[in-house]
Amino acid sequence: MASLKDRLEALRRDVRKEPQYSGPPGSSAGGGESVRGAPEPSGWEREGDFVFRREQTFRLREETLGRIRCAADFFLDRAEPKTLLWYDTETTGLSGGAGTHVFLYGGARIEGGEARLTQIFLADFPGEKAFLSAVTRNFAGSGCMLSYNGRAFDAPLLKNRFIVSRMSCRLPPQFDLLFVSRRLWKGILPDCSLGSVERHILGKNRENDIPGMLIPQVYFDYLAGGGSAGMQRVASHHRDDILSLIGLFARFGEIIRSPSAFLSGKKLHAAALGLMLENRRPGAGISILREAARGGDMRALVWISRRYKRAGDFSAAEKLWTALAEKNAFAALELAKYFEHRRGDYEGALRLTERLLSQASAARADLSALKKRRERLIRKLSGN
Amino acid sequence: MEAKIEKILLSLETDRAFMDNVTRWEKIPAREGEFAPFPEGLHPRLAAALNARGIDKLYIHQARAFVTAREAQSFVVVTPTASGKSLCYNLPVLQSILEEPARRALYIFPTKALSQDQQADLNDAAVSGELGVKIATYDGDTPNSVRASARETGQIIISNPDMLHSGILPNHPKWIKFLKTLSWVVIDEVHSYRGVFGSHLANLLRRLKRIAAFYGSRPVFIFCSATIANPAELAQRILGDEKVRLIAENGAPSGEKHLVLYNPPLVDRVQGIRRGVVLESQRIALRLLCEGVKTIVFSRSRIQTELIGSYITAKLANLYNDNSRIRVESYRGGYLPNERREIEAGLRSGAIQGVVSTNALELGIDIGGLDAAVLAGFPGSISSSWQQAGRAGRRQGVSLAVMIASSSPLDQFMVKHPDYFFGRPPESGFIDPDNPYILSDHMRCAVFELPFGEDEAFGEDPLSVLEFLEEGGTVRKAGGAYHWADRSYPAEGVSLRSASSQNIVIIDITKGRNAVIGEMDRPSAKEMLFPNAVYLHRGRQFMVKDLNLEEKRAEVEEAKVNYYTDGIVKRDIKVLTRDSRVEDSECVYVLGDILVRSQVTKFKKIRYHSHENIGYGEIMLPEEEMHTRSLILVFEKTLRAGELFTLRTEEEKAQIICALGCLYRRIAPVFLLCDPRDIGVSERLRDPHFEAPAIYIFDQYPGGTGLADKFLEKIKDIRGAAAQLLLDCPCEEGCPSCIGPRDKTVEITGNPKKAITAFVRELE
Repeated sequence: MASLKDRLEALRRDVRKEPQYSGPPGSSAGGGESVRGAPEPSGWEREGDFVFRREQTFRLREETLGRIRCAADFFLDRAEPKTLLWYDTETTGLSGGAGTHVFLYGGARIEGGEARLTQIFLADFPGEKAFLSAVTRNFAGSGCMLSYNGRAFDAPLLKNRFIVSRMSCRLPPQFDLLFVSRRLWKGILPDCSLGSVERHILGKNRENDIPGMLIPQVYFDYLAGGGSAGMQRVASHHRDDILSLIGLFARFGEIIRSPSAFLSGKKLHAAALGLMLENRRPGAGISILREAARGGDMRALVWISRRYKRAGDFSAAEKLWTALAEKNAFAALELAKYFEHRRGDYEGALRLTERLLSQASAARADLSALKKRRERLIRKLSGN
Repeated sequence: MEAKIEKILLSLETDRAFMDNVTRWEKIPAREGEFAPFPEGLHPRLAAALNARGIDKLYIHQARAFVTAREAQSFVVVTPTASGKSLCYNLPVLQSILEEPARRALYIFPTKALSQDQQADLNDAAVSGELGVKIATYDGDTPNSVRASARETGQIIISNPDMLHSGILPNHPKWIKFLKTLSWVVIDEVHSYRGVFGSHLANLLRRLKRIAAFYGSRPVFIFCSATIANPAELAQRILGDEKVRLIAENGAPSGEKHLVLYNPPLVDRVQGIRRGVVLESQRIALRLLCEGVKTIVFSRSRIQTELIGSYITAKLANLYNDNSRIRVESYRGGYLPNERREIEAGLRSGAIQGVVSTNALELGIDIGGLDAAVLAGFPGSISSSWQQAGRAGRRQGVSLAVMIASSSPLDQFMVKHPDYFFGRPPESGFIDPDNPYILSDHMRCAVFELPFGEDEAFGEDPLSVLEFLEEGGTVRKAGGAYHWADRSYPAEGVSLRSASSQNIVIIDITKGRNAVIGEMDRPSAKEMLFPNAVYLHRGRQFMVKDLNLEEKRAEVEEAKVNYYTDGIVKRDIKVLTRDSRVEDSECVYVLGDILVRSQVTKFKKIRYHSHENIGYGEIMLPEEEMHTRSLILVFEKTLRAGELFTLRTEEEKAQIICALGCLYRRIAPVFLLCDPRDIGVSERLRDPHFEAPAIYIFDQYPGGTGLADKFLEKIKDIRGAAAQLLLDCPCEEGCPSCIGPRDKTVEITGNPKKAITAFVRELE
């Protein structure tokens, strides 16, 4: 049998290289164990072997600070703004798993009237422990970490890195701005990516921004000796992302403080905002929800019907459910329950249940509940 | 039940027409069980749980497994069907968890279906004994909502190689709690990990051990294997360096078994054509079913499964109409999981009396006791034959298995040489964990999982592979270790099952239904799901409307036609490297890499029942390319075979080389323990590369799995068996049992049998 080496040699001829990102100027070929420098000479300080740090401060306007306080009061149980940390990471891939590295971390907090951003950069893999220690020092003491999609992506990835490096770490509580964005703007904006929200909600337009998709390749090119200009663009992109996070959080505060200013022109889901207000501050969202219901918003109507039900006003609830039952599964189900348990109208309830079952969109769990309901109704009907 | 099977045995034994075709009726006597008392130290709660299930002693192999496991010694236990194998691992594992609840165990079953079955079994034990051990299934069907809790709280996780490969290992930090105290790894059905699949498993275990070591655990491995020639060697090869102890004795009782080799009668003596295996097995299965005997039919292909199933159902409907109360289902890969569960449950409960299956049911899926098995064709290996035959039979009582030979030379060889069949130990399982394709794929995954140190062990030469990967740019060496430096998730691109990881989803679009009815791998899809193909699914006929390879979907519509279809594959071979060259007195053997290009260009329409060819159709699909390993037999003039060859007429040369290829193709699987479909054979009268007559024998898996090399090792045995098959065959001018039937369309004047026989005689 041919030796493994020979057979690998044969494989080698077969490897198709993927097209390389035609990247930063002055890139040189090769790789090897060269020591990599900072992404850009100025502003970056050496933190340890293969680890660099950059501190930048940005003035915040008085009104922005007020809005941040307002959002923190509303979403984060009156947390002190100075205990908050907005953060983001840049990674070598988007699929997660133990082999996806975090190479750039940034955390910003408010000090005095300024946002102070710390960026920590991993210039090559052997520096990972030092990198992670620096990251830990950065988030230590913060009461809450705010991110965009951090709950699903950045936080688990950081945890992976700590485990793989045999370091213990406990991340502070996470607040994910993406969840709020989705509720307010899903379906209104083309998508709820940070880029979209930034453009359409914050009105920012970035120039010369590097597309997120290219970032892993820029880093690999950098590792391979491709120069630091590309990395500099990544670091700027990363900084702008974090500044947008602060801006977005302030915008949330503004919306919470004076919702009416945002309700005209269908620029956000009024009912979602109403529900959000109502959930955290009962009473605060009622007028918005009523208005949305008058405009025919299904979610608002459903909410109103539940309110009737809770108050025991079944005649009002029934009227509403009947009107909605054609289009809304929740209302139809509520109506079926009402027919069965309050009115003893099993046939009516069965009719509604059958119709719900025939609508294929229901989730599996709902389906089995519906089937049970149908069986029970048939039993009750045949028992009569 | 007993009476029914006794009755049918008697009726078969006294049926002249049946017995005329029987080449051997082997009666394997019943065997008493050998028992051992509960081992010392067996946890009282475990003992109580066993007692509650009516068990007060163990089979000797179960007791030995328990003791061996208690010594923290990895082992393989040989467990034929119905030998109580689950206790061989459940007992030590449960004991260990009862003693130390933090301990964790991972059970790996080759298929999802098996793992589900196993969970049912374990839950039974855990619940009935109220042991309070948490068991969770973690596979592709596990909903996201319960995955986190399975990882956190599952003390026994039941999974499959694919999930371990692409779900668990790449995300090991999420599994930290489980992996830290991983004490046991159970690999069931280890005999099914042969060839490619086994080479993957060996690498998967290398990865698992590596990650476990990272978290400070060193699990003990328990393997269960059906009867093969080398269970210990196979388990050892799969596990690598660590010692695996063999527990070969078996204490389980078994009932009397009758194994019948049956050769369908000749319908054309001159051409050697026999009654077809599909019709014949359908006939015999029907006879058994009508006598009330629960029967399983094993067929060789998906198409055959559907054909036999639908023929039987149709016949039953004619005979008995609604009052027959005999339900027969077909079963194969490609059905949806719930369809399969339903059939398995039906068999267990007795709602289904008969099932026609591919080898999908050969593995340990619990389908309850069956009384008879009909093997529609030799399954390709003797161990598979025993596995399939073993599906019939319980611990007590009589069972019957009938193996019906097809007209293929291999089948004919087996049925005409019952001593060979019964006298031979079952085949060996072999794997090649250092297959460069497989190894480098798993090294990529391993580097993704943890940076790779320069001094770490992994296979025969990890540094060569790492350097190779570094060159390709996916791995970066820094600080004395190799790191994953690519944005991709490597496990995603590596499928353990076959060359192609892409499955084609089959969608029924009849009347806008848009329902998914099954899946199929890409190469099979090209041969079975081309536009205008007739696709059979649980006895229903569909016409393929569209096959979209990019979107990985095939659209089918229900249809009623009187034929089915079979794709014709055209192949072309290019030699890429010549790695080694040896010769003996007969010919030259070259091992090297080749590029095989194949294309399905045409299809045949074949009428049901008569199986006659009623037309052709064109297929327009892109070709498949495969880089693989091949053994090339070159008949050089200077050596005997080549020399004899040059003395032949052109016509005889063509006959001889085709005949040799045919013989090798059919006889090799016995020696290589592979499915005949795992190797390809191509004969060239004037090979453009070697400028001599040549026969290519190649691996049907990219990169090769060692079959070509193994063929060379076994060349003497294979050649001997091929010659014997040829010389023993009583046919006059070639038959399906030796060198293939004479091709009448080519209008050759001479008799090919004569040419090849003379050639082989002279060589001897």
